[in-house]
Amino acid sequence: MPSHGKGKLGKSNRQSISRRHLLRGAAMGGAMAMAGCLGGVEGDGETFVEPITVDPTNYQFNHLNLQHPFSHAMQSDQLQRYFINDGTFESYAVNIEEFEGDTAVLKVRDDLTWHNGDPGDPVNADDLYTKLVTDAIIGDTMSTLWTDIQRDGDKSVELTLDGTINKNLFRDGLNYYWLETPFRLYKDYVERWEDATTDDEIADIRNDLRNDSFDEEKVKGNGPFQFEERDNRHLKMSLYEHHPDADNINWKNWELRKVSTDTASVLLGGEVDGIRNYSAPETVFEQAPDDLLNAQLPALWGHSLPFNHEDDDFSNIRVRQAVSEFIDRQACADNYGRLGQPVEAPSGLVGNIDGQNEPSNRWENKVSDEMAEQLYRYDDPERGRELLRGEGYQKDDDTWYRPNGDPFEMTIKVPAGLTDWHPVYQTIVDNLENEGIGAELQRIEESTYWADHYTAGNYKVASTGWTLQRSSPYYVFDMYYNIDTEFMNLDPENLEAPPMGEPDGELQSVDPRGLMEELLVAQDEEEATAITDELAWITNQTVPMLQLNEINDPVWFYTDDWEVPDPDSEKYQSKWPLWWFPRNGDMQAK
Amino acid sequence: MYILKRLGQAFVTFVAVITVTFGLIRAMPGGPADYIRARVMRNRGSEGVSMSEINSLTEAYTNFDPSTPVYVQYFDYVTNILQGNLGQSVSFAGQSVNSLIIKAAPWTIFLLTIAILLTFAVGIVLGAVMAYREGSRFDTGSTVLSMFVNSVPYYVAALLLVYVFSIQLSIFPQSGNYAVGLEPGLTPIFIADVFYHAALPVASLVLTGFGGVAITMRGNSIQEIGEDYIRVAHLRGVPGRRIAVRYVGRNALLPMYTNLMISVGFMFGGSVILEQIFAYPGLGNYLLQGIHARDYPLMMGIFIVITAAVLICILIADLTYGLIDPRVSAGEGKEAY
Amino acid sequence: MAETNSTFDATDDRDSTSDGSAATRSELYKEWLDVAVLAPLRIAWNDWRTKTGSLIILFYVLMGTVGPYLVPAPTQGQGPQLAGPFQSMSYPLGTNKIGASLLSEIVYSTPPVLKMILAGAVFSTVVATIVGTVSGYKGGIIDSVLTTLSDIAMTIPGLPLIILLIAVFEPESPYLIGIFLVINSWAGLARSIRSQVLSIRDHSYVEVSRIMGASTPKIIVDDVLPNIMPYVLINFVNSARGVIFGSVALFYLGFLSGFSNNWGITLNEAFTNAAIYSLDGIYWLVFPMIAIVGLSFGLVLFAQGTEKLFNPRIRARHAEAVDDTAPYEE
Repeated sequence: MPSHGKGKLGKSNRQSISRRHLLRGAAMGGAMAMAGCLGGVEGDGETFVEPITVDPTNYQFNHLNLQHPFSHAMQSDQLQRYFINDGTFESYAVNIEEFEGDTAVLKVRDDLTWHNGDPGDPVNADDLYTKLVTDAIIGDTMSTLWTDIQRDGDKSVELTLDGTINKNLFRDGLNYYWLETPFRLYKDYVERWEDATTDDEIADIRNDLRNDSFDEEKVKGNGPFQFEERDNRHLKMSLYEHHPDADNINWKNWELRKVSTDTASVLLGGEVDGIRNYSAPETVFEQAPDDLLNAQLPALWGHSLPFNHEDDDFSNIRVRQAVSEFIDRQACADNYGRLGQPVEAPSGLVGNIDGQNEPSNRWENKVSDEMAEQLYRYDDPERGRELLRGEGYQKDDDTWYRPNGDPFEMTIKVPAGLTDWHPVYQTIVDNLENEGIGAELQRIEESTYWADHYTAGNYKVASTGWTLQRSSPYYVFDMYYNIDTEFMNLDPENLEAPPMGEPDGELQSVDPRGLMEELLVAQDEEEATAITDELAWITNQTVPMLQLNEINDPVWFYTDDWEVPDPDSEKYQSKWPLWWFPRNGDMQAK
Repeated sequence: MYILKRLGQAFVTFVAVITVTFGLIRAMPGGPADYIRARVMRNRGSEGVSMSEINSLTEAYTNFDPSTPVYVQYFDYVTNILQGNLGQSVSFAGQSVNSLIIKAAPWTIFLLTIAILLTFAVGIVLGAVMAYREGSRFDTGSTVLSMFVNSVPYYVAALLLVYVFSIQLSIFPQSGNYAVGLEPGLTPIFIADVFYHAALPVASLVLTGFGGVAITMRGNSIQEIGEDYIRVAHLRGVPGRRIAVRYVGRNALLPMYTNLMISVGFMFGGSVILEQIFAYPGLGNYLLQGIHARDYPLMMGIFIVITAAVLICILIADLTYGLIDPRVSAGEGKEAY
Repeated sequence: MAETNSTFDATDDRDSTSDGSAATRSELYKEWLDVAVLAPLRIAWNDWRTKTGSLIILFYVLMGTVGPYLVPAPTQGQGPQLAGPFQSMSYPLGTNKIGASLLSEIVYSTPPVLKMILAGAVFSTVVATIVGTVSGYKGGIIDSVLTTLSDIAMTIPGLPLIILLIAVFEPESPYLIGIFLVINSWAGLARSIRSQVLSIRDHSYVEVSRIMGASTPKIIVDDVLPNIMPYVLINFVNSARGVIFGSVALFYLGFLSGFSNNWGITLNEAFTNAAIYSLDGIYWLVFPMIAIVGLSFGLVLFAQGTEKLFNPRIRARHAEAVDDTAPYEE
């Protein structure tokens, strides 16, 4: 999809990708070989080819308009780099100059210039200011952390934070941000925002901003490659020599090529030089030629089974727990394929898989050792049966009946197009069927699924991811107790959970939102861990959605023309290798 | 008079189709915002949209003013269409439906024209030969073959062709309309490459389509061969080749003329799947994107273009049929009993 | 094809006998059934294509009715993941990504497919026959209205229309899906039936009935329908084939929701799991393909075998058989 630069997960393997037909010419027929000669741009070590599935002439250049936007990660720079394996940050386009009390000062990297000249105008405070203001207009993550903003000199912006925000949370919030908002393009919106006083006015600005489309290709970028040309089959960017890291790049062009939506063929056919993220089916791993390298990094994401908390059955915490006991998360992960590992203790803690597709216990670092031990594992079907019986459910002739005598049945709704999700939920169907609970999978066209089923809270159990791809537990809890509450009909104000460490204890009233507010401004790590412990326990026991597995994103490179680090290198453990390697000199044309 | 009446009928049909599709599309649940919602939900967290914003997006992405009464929307829409203006696409920001269709239609028409012509050419020749050798081994073999290929869905054939010719043998490209890097133009190489890329999509239509044509042609021909006038012609000493081509061939072909025109509509519909499999940038491809994105103007536009194409074909068939077959008169419609 | 009804000219004799004799109503219907359906079927049965076709169809019907009792339902872990075919009796056709037996998947897809086919074929044939006969027989304004309606239905591009309808109504029942899949395919059939009827309505025996004061519905049922029955039968089978093609395509594209197993879903799973890229994996794609092609081949064979009823020259050869088996023929 168009917004290629963003950390879009390839959760569906029906994305797309194309090139090496031409490039490799392996066993090509006559006409193709002929066309290949003419294509002529390939395999010369000058151009890196990446796949897209849309017609490039349909792009427009306002990335905030969600309809076919173009904004590429090589065209503009990411604010910072985050290493998943050890949880550290490294500033890139923007540096945190000061972080003290409730003030944060962010500064744009020196020597960064826009692609509008030779060299173009410097990227300055105005542009960073624009980035943060447009973010506030659309109401994204960062904007929830500050209350006031002003320019601070030529290159810096000063934020007045919403309290003494925990620095780690602030830094985690900065992930997935790109500096792609030149002030000159968004000037009107920024000024309107400054004048706006009511929410309605901001809604109007947002409306206009979301519908605007630009065609100023060059101005959009400040990254190492600048927009060059496009037609209906490809979009070409060329090296921008004034970028501070341009010296690390020993080739000239970066090309996006329109290919089939069948990514497997594109990759195996060698039509591209690399793919940022493609969750390939097993056959592709097996069939991959020797010079096709793949490496993995955690997606910080996984599948989950959200419950409708107003459902007759699942409004009962004990029923949610019981069903969780019946579900074999290991089988779910196995059936997803080699890129998945089960969630060990479903409690909203990210870090169950490492870069080598092996189980990881990184999640334990987010809570105290004691809590890591205490969090309930949900792997005891016998306890599940007891819980159900305790709530008045009955099992006769291998079938479970609800307290009112009806058979206990459910439909699991899944988006039809995301076929790689289906094995996970099919496994749940089979687990439940074996236990005597009627279950079936309903595949629903994707747009309809999200719009009319999941976000409309129109389901008994459904399917979705269990994180927002951030590793701090805060953002996961934020998803459960603030963002997705209306989708799951969850009422965090009236939530009950057993006391810490006693899964079968008496239910007590809990207040996840209050705890989260404390967590947001917790200054010392001990305090933060204690609060996280509590939130993790609440999540672990109330099971707002059952976290099933955590998956890896594989990145693919053809190493015949390109030199990249070994797959087990830690350099891969930061999103996304394909964007960082060129900038750091870790990728070289042969 | 007949022509006028027929034109009038076509016009009524056209407006009726617009009305039906307009109604259906307006009845579709949700709107363009649904698609945005879906995209956001799918890429949660990594793309700059917060969930709190999702609901307000519904208003940001609507392509018609919900406050206008539906009949006014309808009237405006029909008036615009009749002036050749299909509106603005919603999912392709800043592009008109007209420009998208102009971009896509030539590819679909190119693909389908070749496919239809080849299907009928192969089918008719094979059918005629089968009829002349009725009962022979060739006839039996070809009949079974024809029936078999006729029962293979074209998309199944497409997948198999891709497997064999593109993946295993690497003879044909798997997708696209021409090689990247080629400068579009009327150069021999470009044209050759376009045909080369069209080979598999066309083959999947032709291979699964010719059987049906052949069987029909065979049946028609056998029937004609049995007619008295053929026997008479033989007795009169008309040369066999002349009988085969001028008498039998011509009369067996006539009933298929309408089939040909009607199959245009079928093929247009089928292009949705075919273009999806081959990532071919034609109308079907855009239609599917339009449906996924709930892009009403785009969907309507493509519907209307396809409908118009089918209508024109049927109209041509009706109007020219009388010229080809003098026996046909236009008087079927009298009130009977 | 105007002359194809010679064999059935006997019908007007039947009319006169039945009017004059004390035959009961049920006997009349039996006669009607025999003349209109059974006799042609008997003729057709002599054709190997009909026989083979019927056997294939019967096989699928058995697979759809008895099959689910013989084969366990598909669940994960019936065998190892992605096991090849012909290795174990518990998963004779191999397994898919979650280790479910392909045979089970294919068998359990059959009942919903058969339901869809049945609903779709019945719907389109009935609508087409009613519209076609009425419009052909009545003529005039009714004809113009019905013809215009069929024209409209015929002109709207089929598959896109179906996709649209499915998006609007989200049908889940296989019967409903079957009907949606043929939502406009009755139109073509209605038009051909209309032209058949046009040529029949001026036949002398129809004229006789009319003069004798029979009502229009009676004439249509007694005199017109028996003549077009073989044609209707063939089209029943053709729209059945259309339903298979359409349903598999839409499941493949992910537009159809619902719970049913379907060969299209299996096909799609195989395709998106890149089964097509290795010789070891291709079985996953091939078996559902065989299931789809097999059933539609059976239907095509059956239709082709029965089609000869139209061709007087071929039929003449079987005339005697008709005499032997159909007592109402002269």
